[in-house]
Amino acid sequence: MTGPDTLELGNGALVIVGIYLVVVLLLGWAGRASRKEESLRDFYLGGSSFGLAVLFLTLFATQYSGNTLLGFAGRAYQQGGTYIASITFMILIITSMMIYAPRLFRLARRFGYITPSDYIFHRFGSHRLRILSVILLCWGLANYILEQLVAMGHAIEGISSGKVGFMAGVLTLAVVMLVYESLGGMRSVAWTDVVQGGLLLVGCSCILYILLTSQGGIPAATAVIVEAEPEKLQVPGSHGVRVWISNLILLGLGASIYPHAIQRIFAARSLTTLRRSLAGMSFMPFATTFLAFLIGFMALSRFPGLSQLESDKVTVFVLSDIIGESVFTYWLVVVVFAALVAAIMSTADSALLSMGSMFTKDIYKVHVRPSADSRQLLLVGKVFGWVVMAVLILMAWVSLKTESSLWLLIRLKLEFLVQLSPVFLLGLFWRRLQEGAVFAGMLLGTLLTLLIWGGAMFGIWEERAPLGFSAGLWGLALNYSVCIVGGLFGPASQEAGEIAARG
Amino acid sequence: MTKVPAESRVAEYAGERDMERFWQEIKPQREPMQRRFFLPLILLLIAVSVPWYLPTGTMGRLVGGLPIWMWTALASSLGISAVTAFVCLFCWEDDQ
Repeated sequence: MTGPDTLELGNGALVIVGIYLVVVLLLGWAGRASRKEESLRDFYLGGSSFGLAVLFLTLFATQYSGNTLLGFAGRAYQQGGTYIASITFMILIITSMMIYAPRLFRLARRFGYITPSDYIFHRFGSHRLRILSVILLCWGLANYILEQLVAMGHAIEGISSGKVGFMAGVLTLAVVMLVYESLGGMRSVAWTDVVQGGLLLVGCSCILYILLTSQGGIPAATAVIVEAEPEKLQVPGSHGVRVWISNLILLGLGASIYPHAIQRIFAARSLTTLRRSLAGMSFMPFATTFLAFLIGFMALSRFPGLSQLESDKVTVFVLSDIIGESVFTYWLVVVVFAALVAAIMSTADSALLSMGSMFTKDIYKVHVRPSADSRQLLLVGKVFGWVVMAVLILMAWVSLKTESSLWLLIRLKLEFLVQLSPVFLLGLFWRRLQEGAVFAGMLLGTLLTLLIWGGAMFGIWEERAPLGFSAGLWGLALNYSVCIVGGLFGPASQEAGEIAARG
Repeated sequence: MTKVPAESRVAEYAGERDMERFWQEIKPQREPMQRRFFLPLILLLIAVSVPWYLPTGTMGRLVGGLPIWMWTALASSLGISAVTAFVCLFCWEDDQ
């Protein structure tokens, strides 16, 4: 069985999305008008001035992407009850921050960090470690943006019932995003996040209410699943348990060090606003990830037998199922789709801004043109953003046209990002940890991840996740082992003030 | 463009490395990692949330449409949220 091919949203949805795009452009302009100075801190961290509402909504809109509503629902459909783990791992992202954020926030305030790599260079004094970190972080972010671009295309295609094509949708949203981001940097991004996060919150709450109350809610869905696919409700075997644990570690540790998330810690106006925002964020998976889980779970009863590819569209199928119930549900679905577009854009713009900041501050300023002033650096960052976006849009287009298994490589995202975990979790607490061990651990961990993944891709062995544990976690285990052995038996602390500028 | 007074600006990090100062400055007044219950409690809640201790392939009783093991995972997750929010609000203090 398949679900409905298109969702008849009519012109109402296009009007709402049109209004939304005009509003975010105006906010982008307002962000520019409110800038305080031509500095990297002002452009990339909004002058570290965000109060509670802006900080909370920008953290929220950035953490929950198009993938949460589309991809997570698809995976819940495929895996059934065990994907309830998605709620736990989204909470663990904030829990992991409780380990390192207090020290990193303090250091950032004292020493004026703009990017996560500022801390990495300060702590370890190594150019090669900073470059490797920036490569892994940018790889993760570029991958993340690419995922969002593909989601953008599908969302606009869905909203317009196919009248606006995939590439036209991607180009329109990407250009709007680049314009408001270039205008006001982080301030514009965060202010648009307020609209985007608000839409997402309202949209998710409405749809959660409808799902729980219409067509018999969860009990009616379960009754069908018990008959048709009881294994989706059963306790997983030992392999399933290991996959579950693997997801908790990979997401809990990996997603907590997304650079755009770390930069929001730097952007807080005060410790009080940061603490309150993060405390609120620790409960948000119940409003968003739980919703995505329920959509996938309920789709099992309403649209049984979908293929893996089709299951990625279960959110559209479930929404199309309720859209015709009343005028209220029609507008509700329209709001949810606008929220979906907002979720996609708010994640992509933050990731792109973060990449720009690392390129200008950690690469261009250090290795290309050390004499560049703030104005030149900001220009370079903006041009870099437009160029990266053009390349990624091209990649999104090519990925639609080809089905090469090489595309599997770009799915490596958190597996690479998580290799930076010892830098924060050990580096902030353990003085004996030295640059050599961290660099070797990060490099070897990344190479082992690539080896396991690549071997499975080229058919040398079958498992991309041996014993159910992700390739990235095997790499991380090696990474931590090298760091700990190096820290225990390596040379003692460097002299104060020494600059080990290896490179 | 509104100007900010120079003294209120936070400096931008420019590659300096005074490591004695780095280690002197690193500790906040209070942080969650100083609380002995924090990590063990989180690990315990994670261990409860994953149904490794239940017989494979069983479904158990359904409550409100979901098996009890799924409710257990949800309740443990809520516990992790509560502990995280608690340490964030009450075990993290520093000068502003």
